[in-house]
Amino acid sequence: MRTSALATYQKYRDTATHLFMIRMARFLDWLESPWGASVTMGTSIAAVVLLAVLSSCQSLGVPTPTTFKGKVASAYTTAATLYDTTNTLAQAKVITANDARSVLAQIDAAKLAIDVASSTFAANPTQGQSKLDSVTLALSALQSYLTAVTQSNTQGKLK
Amino acid sequence: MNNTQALQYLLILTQTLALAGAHVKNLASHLAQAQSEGRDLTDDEVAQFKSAAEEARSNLLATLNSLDVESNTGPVS
Repeated sequence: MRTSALATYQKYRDTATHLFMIRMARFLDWLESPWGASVTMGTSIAAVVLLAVLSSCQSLGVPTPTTFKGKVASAYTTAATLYDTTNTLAQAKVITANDARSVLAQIDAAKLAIDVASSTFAANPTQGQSKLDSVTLALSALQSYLTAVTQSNTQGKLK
Repeated sequence: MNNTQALQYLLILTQTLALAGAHVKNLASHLAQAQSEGRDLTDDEVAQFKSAAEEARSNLLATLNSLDVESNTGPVS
């Protein structure tokens, strides 16, 4: 039978850090309890939801870009966020390398489309704006996909 | 999932959120600055956001290549 983390760390009770260690040990033991597991799951799901919320500038008090260049910068930022998110999820093996490659290819395509929209805007603002709107939608869809996959795989891991 | 895995997993999620937050904060800073000065973003500023995306892409490629090495499959170009 496994010795509880609390029992292991209680021997440090006379050291200067004993309070911290015992509290940490209690926390670790609590995480393995049914309450801890359910709260951990809740925290993970909340984190996934937060990930989705991060994509919304308004929810964070970020000024909504009103100009074309502002929207282009916002689209590049979303692409950067998606690359980083895919990176950490792949490292954590929450998504497979193949899934990550598939997402990478789609973000690449979106990034290329942002470039095309920018070039088009100079000659034809309406068409450039329309192309950028399409890219923004595609990036939102990718965010939703990553959120859904993460949530699904998180629940699987926590069972 | 044991407690160590749970903590590691939460740490990874926190890192993900921190990275995403840093990008959004940078965007917010530039947009607010331009707005307060009553101007649009400059081409240089837009180029910085593109560079950030390219850097993030490079990092992802590096991760995928290291995962490929682990699983003995071909590298991603």
